Amino acid sequence: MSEAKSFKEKIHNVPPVLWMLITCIAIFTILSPQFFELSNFRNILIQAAPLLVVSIGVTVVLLSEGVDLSTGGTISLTTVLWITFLKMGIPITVAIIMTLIIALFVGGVNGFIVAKGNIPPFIVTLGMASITSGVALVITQGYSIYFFHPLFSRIVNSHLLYIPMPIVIAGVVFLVTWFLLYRTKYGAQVFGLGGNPEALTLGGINRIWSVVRVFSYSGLLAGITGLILASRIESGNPISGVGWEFDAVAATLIGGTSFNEGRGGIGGTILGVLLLAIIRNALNVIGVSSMYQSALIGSMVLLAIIIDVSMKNKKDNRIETEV
Amino acid sequence: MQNPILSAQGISKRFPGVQALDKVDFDLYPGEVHIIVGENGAGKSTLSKCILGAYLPEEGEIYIEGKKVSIKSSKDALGFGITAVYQEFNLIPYLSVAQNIYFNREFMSKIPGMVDMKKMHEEAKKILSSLNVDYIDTKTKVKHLGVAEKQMVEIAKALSFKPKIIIFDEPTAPLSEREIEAFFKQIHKLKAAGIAIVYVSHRMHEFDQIGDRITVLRDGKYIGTVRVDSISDDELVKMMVGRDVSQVYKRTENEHTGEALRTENICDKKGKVRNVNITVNKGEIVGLAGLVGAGRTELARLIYGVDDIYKGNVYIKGEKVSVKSPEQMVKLGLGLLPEDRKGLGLALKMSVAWNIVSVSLRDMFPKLFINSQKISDAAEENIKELRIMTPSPHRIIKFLSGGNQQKVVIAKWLNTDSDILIFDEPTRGIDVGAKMEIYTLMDKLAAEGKAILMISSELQEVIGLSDRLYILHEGKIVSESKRGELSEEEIGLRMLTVEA
Amino acid sequence: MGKVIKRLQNSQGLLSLMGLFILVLLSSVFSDRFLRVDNIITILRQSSILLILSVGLTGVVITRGVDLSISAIAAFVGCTCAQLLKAGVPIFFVFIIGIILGGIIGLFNGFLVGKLKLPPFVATYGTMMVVSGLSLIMMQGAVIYGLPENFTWYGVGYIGPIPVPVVAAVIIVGIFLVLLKKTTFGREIYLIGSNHNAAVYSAIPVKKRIYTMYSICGMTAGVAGLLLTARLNAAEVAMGDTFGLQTVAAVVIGGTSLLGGEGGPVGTVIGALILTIVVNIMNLLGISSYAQPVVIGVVIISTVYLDVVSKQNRVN
Repeated sequence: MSEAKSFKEKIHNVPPVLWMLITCIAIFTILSPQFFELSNFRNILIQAAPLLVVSIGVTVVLLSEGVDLSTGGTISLTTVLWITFLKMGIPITVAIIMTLIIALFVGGVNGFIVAKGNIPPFIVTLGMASITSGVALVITQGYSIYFFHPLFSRIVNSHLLYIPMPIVIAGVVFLVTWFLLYRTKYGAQVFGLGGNPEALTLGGINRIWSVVRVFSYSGLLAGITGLILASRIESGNPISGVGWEFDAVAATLIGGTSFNEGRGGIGGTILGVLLLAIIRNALNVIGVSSMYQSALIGSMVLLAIIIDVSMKNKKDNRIETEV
Repeated sequence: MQNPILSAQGISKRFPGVQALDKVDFDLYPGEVHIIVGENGAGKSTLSKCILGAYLPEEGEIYIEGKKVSIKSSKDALGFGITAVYQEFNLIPYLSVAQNIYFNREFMSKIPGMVDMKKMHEEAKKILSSLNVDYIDTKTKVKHLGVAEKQMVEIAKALSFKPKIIIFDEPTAPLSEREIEAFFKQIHKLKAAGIAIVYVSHRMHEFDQIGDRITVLRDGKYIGTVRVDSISDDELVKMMVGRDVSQVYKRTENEHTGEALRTENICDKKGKVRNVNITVNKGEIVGLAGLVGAGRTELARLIYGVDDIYKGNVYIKGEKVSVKSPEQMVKLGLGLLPEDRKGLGLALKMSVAWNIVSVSLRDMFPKLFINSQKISDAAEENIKELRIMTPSPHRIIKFLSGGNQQKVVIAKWLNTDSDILIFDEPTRGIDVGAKMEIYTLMDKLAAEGKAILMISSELQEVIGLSDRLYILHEGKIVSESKRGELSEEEIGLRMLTVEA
Repeated sequence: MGKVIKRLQNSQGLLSLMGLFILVLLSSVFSDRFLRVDNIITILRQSSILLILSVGLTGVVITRGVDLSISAIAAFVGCTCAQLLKAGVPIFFVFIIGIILGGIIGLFNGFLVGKLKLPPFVATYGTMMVVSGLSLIMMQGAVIYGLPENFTWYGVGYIGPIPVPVVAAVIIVGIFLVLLKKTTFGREIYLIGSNHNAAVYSAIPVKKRIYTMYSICGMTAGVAGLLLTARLNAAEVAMGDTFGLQTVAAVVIGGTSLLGGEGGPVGTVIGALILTIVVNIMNLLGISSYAQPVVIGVVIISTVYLDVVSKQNRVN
């Protein structure tokens, strides 16, 4: 193998999302000099951190050939539950644990129904989103509920070794997930679910519990995202999670994780989240109304999926796709 | 002599409509390669699956090292030291080679829950180098490996269980000549290590190189077990094919009047069909024989417009057509009865009547609106004509037997004006009685002047029915012969590409 | 009557019909206002737009697809047409434009599913995002009020004692009934949903049928958007949101399986009525409207679960 070819190959192997990221940064820097300032980048990262947390969970679900559209509802519910618990006078640590257990449980129910009934995950998680956001609305009767606790600003504004806390949390979640995915047998099972479920059965693994674990994890991470969000807005808001499920799936797909065979990984999701955050930020800096942003991001996602699927179709012609 | 490590006696297994295994005996000694051979549907895979615990036989006993056992799952099988290398790989594409080999049996490190990656790669490397395939990096994701390498990983995975018995199901099918040679070296090594090997295959030219004994199955029945060095290829083919059924295939003498279908050097994109030239005349039944994977079904799909033609031309009744889609080919008078009845031939949730009219619906009602009565009547007529056993045309087709389902597939095409029909494995998995009826029907269609191209893995039927016979091997036509021109043994040998 | 029952049995609508019957009984026990004529007409009117959306979706689900974008299409068409009306375009043309617009978006979905072979829920979810984005851009956050009275008639008016949207829903259900059950197109749609590959081998132009079905579904979404705008006498971006999941729920409750090839418009009528009655009775009982999504979520998950599980049992 010549050096030249391996270089070429390396170029070829750079995920498309990285090119998009570089291009976007270049374009936005030209369009608006403020964009390239360090403080702006810091802002972008802080803004992106909670989305990264939930997206990592969604990525794990996608790797297992599932999809989780319930994270937005779980986030809303988490903010509401946490604040409600605090208002009831429950100590904050206990409240956090209780809230996260509920989030975990919501994910687990998703997984159980999906695996046990062999039901398309999109419909189960959409239904779950309806339930969780409905519960959040019922609890608060549609209003935001406010509470203040000093921990909120510690979560949002403090630093650890000069790194803003939200980024630290996202970083820890990333490392833990990386470890679970690539260094434990549960991680191997995730790739097995996505790539060859038959192999799981032959390996003597209970598929249902594997799926339950995957969805529970996604629920847990959505719960953590909800906690960060509640700290930021210092309230429990029953619609605070609206749209997050979409951004999380978008970031995952743009990051190169695919709906089939368990291709992809959480590394790409970081890039996907960054890309979304940068586009949002740049459009704001440049002064493009937020109206255009969702259309733009929607189109990007659709494009990412089309590229992904048509690349697969090229390989095996005329396969049938299902719901 | 040693005692057998595995001995199966009187194994029977029935599937709806088929006796897949009928009192089959099989034994296996340590350090032996025991080949199971037979035509498609002879029961080879069923037997190996019974040994692996994937199927539970209804009758018969299995003894491991002299002890009677019952193998109910692959886990049980592993417990007895039996493992398999599957034809379809059970590897997980986005896990590394080492992770695949030790899937769900990971080496754990001292930190609870954490996998000891280093140890896992080391152990995997050890197994791979024992197989002389050190060049496979244990860190590569399986997705990026070639077919032969994937198979090596499968073998390594099988070995990691430290098995006493390994079952190989058609292991050389995906491999090239050179890879096969290397693979046989591995088999010899495994043998030398005292591992007993069950080797399911129908590639006869391989048997001398690796096999010790051969057990022949035919139609689920045990025909016999012979030593490889004591039997000639001719004799083996005779055992596989059997005799004395020639009366079944009655053909009406008729004129072959002009060309109906012709292909000119057609190729597909994947190289499964290479420069194929065939001609089918009106009133003629043309057989297309070949091993599984020789490109027979692929050829049919090309002609029918399901897959894109890469190169070459198709002529229908002498006129060149550019094949675009099944819709277009059906309009030109072509029909295809696919090999996979349930997957491709029928809408199982729907009624007999709706299935029967599925192709001809638009011709019956060109003005969009349908008339249910007319559909029932049409279906009723087919049901009577083909003697389809169904209580009513509105019966959901799922509940019919295989033979009757196949008749419905045929009925679909009788309702169209198709005068060129491709039958892909028309008698697979159906009972003898229904087979006869289908043979008679095909003869009748040919006598009516229809052109029939018949693909079949059953040598007897393809020899018995065809006016002319093409043999396909690795995508190429290797032989064309008239009825009675070649002996059955010769055809068998050409199919297997043994020098004839 | 016997024939009707048999047909219902075949379309698995019997269970839903019994469900509806029990629900009506229970509701009339819970609230004496329930069975009053004005309440029944309210229910019918409330269900009509959901029904129009769901009937279109039924066709798509029979192909073993799904369309999550229809509520967004309805909103988009509603917003566009409200602007056109404000600009003085005649009502007739507004209707034509609205329906064509819905059809084009539906065709786009059909292209993504039929040609590019994207999983339907992914494709239509993506379309939903794009279409909602377009609505946002077009409306710039505004709400359009005060539409011409001869337009709002289509939402609030009556033909005799029957509200116009109900009449529209009945007509559309009738068209779908004929289309799906009595035409070659409809039967081919069932064949495609029952076994996609067998349909290809049976020389059915599968792609064309899928394009057409999604386009028709888009068109009914367009009609629903127009009627909704007329009923609200207003248009805004979020106007379709409440229908999102309810449409899928109505179809599935009505016995059309997400696995394709089964079901039909009659079941969907029952499904839409059940959902509407549940909401109606919750309103009558004074249960917070916030609890409605919870109920709908539970209903949809449990019906899909029962549907799939019962089917698996039957196979075994």
